[in-house]
Amino acid sequence: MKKVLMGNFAASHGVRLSRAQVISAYPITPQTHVVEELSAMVARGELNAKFIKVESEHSALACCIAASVMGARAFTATSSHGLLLMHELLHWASGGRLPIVMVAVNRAIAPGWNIWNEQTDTLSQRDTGWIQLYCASNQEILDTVIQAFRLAETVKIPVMVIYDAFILSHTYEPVDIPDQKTVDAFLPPLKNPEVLKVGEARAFGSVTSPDFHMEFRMKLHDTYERVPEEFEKIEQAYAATVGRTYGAIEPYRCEDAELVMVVAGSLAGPTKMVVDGLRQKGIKAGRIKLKMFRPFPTKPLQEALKNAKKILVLDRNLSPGTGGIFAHELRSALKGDARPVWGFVAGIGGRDITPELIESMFFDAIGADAPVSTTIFKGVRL
Amino acid sequence: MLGKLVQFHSIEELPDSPVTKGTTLWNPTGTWRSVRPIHVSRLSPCLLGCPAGNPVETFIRLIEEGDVDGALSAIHEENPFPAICGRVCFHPCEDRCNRGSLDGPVAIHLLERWVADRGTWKPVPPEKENGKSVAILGSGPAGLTAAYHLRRMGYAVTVYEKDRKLGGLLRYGIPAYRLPRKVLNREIKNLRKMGIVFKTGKSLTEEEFDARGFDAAILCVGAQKFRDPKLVHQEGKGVWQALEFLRGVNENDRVSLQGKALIIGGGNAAIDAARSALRCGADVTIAYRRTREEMPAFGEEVEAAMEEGVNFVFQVAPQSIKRGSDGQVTGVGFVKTRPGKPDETGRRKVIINPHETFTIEADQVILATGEVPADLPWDLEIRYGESLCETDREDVFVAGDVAGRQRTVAYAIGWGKRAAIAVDAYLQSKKVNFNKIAVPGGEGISMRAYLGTAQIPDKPVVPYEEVNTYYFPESEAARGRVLPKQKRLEGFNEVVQGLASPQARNEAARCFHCGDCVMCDNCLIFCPDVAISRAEGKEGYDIDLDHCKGCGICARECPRGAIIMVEENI
Amino acid sequence: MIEPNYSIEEEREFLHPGHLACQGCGATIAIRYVLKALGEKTVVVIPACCWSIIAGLFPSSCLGVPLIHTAFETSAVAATGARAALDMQGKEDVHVLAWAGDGGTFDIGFQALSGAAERNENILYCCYDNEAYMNTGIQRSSATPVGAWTTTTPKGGLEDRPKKNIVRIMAAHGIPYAATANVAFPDDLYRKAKKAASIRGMKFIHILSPCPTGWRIPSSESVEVARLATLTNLFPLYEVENGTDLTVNYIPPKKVTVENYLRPQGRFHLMSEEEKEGIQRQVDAAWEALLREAKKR
Ligand SMILES: Cc1cc2nc3c(=O)[nH]c(=O)nc-3n(C[C@H](O)[C@H](O)[C@H](O)COP(=O)(O)OP(=O)(O)OC[C@H]3O[C@@H](n4cnc5c(N)ncnc54)[C@H](O)[C@@H]3O)c2cc1C
Ligand SMILES: Cc1ncc(C[n+]2csc(CCOP(=O)(O)OP(=O)(O)O)c2C)c(N)n1
Ligand code: SF4
Ligand code: SF4
Ligand code: SF4
Ligand SMILES: [Mg+2]
Repeated sequence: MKKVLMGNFAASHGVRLSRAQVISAYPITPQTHVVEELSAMVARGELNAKFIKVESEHSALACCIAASVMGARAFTATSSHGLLLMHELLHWASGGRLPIVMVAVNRAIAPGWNIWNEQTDTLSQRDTGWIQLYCASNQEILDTVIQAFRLAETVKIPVMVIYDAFILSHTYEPVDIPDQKTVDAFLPPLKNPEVLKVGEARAFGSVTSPDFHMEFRMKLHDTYERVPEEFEKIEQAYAATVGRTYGAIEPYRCEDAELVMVVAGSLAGPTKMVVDGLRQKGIKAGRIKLKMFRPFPTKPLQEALKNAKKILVLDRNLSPGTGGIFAHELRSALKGDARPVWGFVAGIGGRDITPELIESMFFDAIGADAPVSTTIFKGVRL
Repeated sequence: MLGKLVQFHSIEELPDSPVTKGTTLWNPTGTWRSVRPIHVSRLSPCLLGCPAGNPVETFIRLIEEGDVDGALSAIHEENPFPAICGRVCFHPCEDRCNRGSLDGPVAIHLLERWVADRGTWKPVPPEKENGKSVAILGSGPAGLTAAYHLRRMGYAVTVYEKDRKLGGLLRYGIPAYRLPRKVLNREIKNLRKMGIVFKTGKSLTEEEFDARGFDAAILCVGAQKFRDPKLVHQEGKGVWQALEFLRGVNENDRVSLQGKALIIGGGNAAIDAARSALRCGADVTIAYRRTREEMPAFGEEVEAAMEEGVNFVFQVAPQSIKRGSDGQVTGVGFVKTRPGKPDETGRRKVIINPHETFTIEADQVILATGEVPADLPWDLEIRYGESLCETDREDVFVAGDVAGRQRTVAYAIGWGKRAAIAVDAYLQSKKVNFNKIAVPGGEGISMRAYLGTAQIPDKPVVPYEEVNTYYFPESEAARGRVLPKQKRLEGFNEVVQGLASPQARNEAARCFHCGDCVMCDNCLIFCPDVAISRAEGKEGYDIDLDHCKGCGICARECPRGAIIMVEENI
Repeated sequence: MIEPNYSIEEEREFLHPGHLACQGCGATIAIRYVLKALGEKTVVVIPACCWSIIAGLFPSSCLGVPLIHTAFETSAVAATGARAALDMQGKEDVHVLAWAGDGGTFDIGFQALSGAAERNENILYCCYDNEAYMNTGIQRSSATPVGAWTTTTPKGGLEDRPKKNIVRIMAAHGIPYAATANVAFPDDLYRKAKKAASIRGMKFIHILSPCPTGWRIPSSESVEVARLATLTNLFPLYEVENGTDLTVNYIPPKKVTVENYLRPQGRFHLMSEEEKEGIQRQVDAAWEALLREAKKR
């Protein structure tokens, strides 16, 4: 069934179709509709779940963690400050190997209060052990939420489904909503989901001495190596049942591209347009949309960038003193590679990234052999 | 008991996240310990206090458990006369009772009396005669107790009593309003049923003893010799010795006394004589050399006498009996006294003021100036040995007032028991360690310990400080109801009534059970390490020393000091 | 056998020896009786506190029921989550017990606790109160009483703010059941936990738990000192139903001055006589007020 939905509602439908059992969330712009819609769905009886209106994001995730330990499919949604407040518990969830799914809407961080789009909130959670999947359309949001549950439950690692504030969260797009049966076939209920069973005297999360702590983290790390492969399988299964795939990365016109720009999130659309325009001008431009950020898809990226001469990264985020986070990650993924990488930081705090601005980045790269500095701010006003 | 720690041999065996697989039982937290708790049986102060060696705490516990007969037989193991003791004993056990420091001692004597009056105990002849015979002279509590224990051990026992009836001072000294004859007779009858032979109105000479082939003898002839104050004009009508007077009262039930009776003395005999004289119709005054506080008579008795209307004159010393021209007593001449310096016993000397003389009118005078031990009827000397019962002759022993300085019924009973043990040890050539069978730091001796049927706790007595009084809400000690004064003076009816059953049960429940684990579960309840459990198949608790950390809460929370903490040897 | 002093019919133990509490720790006695009351169909949630250590190191647990360790400030909401999952599985008969220290309750976990109370979550929240952050080495919390020494209220700067009245605060949420308890009164604690288990909705029990280490008392005195807290009326035993109905559960048979409670504890040794007298006055007034309020019912 096709419906015109804003991104937040697409997320809610994904959660409904995934039959989440325990939902716990706290409102924050621009995530609010996700939970408003979910509470309405529960109220209308469209979703059989406990919706717990906790008093903070910290509690929201703590609630999901315990619910997940006891075997419930758990979901939460947040953004920005809410995500940062959850930080401690992000580690609990991943260290606990709990298949929780979260929607995180990318929003800037105070001070100054700023509700607009920026990716620093999720990217600064990169070492928490959560899988991060960035979406570029409302359809992708819905599909990714459903896939995320299956992925999380397969590898026992929590998954963050991420999309841009307003640009996706509040923007209406036609979205195909698969029917419940189809989704059920793709995402069956968990078998033996509980970490702890009533009547079994076991403890979750006990004090762990140096004798074991390292092995647990190593196990988590080792499982990450399997994630791209498992994600791939899940995508295939999703394609088979629902009929759509996205890929850990989505290269566009990269085969022969000399200049390739790497982006994540909704920028995938405008960059694609810009690439087409440049091609018309005879410039061999390409673009890679990064969906999966954790684990970092090093191999597919290396493969897709094989023929590129110059690499551009467009970061709508900033690690102060380091620069764009995607650029930083990419550089380390390509280590030993002599090709120049332009790290562009733009759109911070919701500033517009126009096609012209994107194009100017390509021209910057065309006009030089190497970037003037590691980090180049674009679209600076003053 | 220690459990096993789960082991992981490869990273695959390790779960994905820290989810435990077993208990902490493998963890030997017992190694943290520097002191270890032990449930022990400790001496209770009451046991130390009872000269007769009554198993006080034990019998109270049996009462609490509802086993009155059991309580009675427990006493009978040590003492054949609980009904008597429960009435006339001055209960030094209660002076020691820990509860005294809280809200009044447990009324042990009333419980003893209740048990004796309510319980049933069947006197049984010994299972086996051992072929030996013992002669006992004197049927006071000492002689009867010795006879009882020896008979239980299988001896043929003959008691010679020079008086017409059995009981010694129990019968001829202590008045019936304190010890009804029915009660006395009941407990003596038990002994007869056990096969003890009584010869009354008879004594036994040393020659007869030798001639009749007895294997041993115990002389329990008491201390009934009059201590003569030798007053001027003492000889003659109207002046009685207290024992003589009481014997008269006790034999005839009633002596008619008219007018004013003046009793001289401050001991129990004085009070008994005074209260008896009241009941015989006299107007009674007691004159005593020292102060009220210094009276050797038992406080409760003095109070009862006052209540009943006896007048008291203190700090006066008698000098002469005043007689009329017809020789009739008209009064007693006194001088005033005042207290002097304490002597070596701590008692203050009496200083007479010869100038302050006066007379108290009287028609009769009763001299209760005390008694001294009788001369031994045989040509022997007491030679205190280990048992405190020995004489010159190895086959002749002494017991009771005749041998002792502490002259009370309970002492006499304890002494009779000592003598029985001494005789048995002598005749069976047993080596007895009296230290092992005597209550350490106490007065009594234990027949059960001698026979090996029970042990005297070897752990130190429980001081009040070690009683956890939280567990014992304050409550008043039980008291026996007393006859109204008018009723009392009508005759010799028993003044103090026994406890009603609910009262007795309440009173028993007041006992702390010092040093005796009653399985209240407190240690188990409060152990933070769940290291205490009820022992399987027996009374008591097991302590899991693999895990007990030695915190000492169990010992602290034990209401009765039945757990001690001992140092670990580390 | 003579009747035991305490009537606790459950013989099963859900606390195993070998745990890591200090000698004489009251917090272990506390959970022992709460778990006896709740039984094996219970899930326990424990935040950071001494109990996260006491429970045992991986791979061992000293509890005979499932246990979720959770972040310091989250016990009430983690219990909520566990409850939600169990309810979704139709396991409504399973009890969820949040078991937290005073720091995790009065301070850092208060927000989540208040939230759970306001939502009337069907959980039992027990705070074992040892009146400081003991696990981290005796720092003051908002449960630390006036006059107490801790490592952050040292000589010259003893605690000068009164303890938060957590039960009244909880009762003010209008929850069905809020009560105080004391490890020295195990049958009262047991009864309260049983009662709580029979009530749907949010239940809160504030349990005074002596800590020999932090209170500076010999381990053997732990229960006795805790008992004195109640005997002196400093820590009365009472329960508040539906936010307002107050019942005092124990009235000491005779007056015991607070001095008797303060003297044995090293943590109060720096207090002056006037301060002690001040506490006595406060305690007397609070006790009178409590009795008046109980009478109003
Ligand atoms: C008036 C009075 C009241 C007392 N009240 C109490 C009291 O309330 N509580 C208490 O504990 N104590 C009391 N006493 C003390 C107590 O009665 C004695 O300590 C106790 O009776 C001593 O017992 P006994 O067997 O040694 O001697 P006794 O009871 O004196 O018995 C000695 C017996 O030996 C007999 N006898 C003497 N010579 C011979 C012989 N040659 N041959 C055969 N028989 C002989 C005597 O006739 C007598 O029957 C009281 C004493 C008196 C005088
Ligand atoms: C977010 C966070 N801050 C601080 C700590 C450190 N910490 C662990 S336990 C604890 C004190 C706990 O005190 P309380 O709740 O009273 O329990 P107790 O240790 O006294 O039993 C602290 C401060 C932590 N674990 N998590
Ligand atoms: S309280 Fe009981 S055991 Fe203790 S001294 Fe008194 S009678 Fe004996
Ligand atoms: S209470 Fe328990 S841990 Fe403490 S000493 Fe006694 S047995 Fe040991
Ligand atoms: S520090 Fe205190 S509360 Fe913590 S385990 Fe030790 S005794 Fe118990
Ligand atoms: Mg604390």
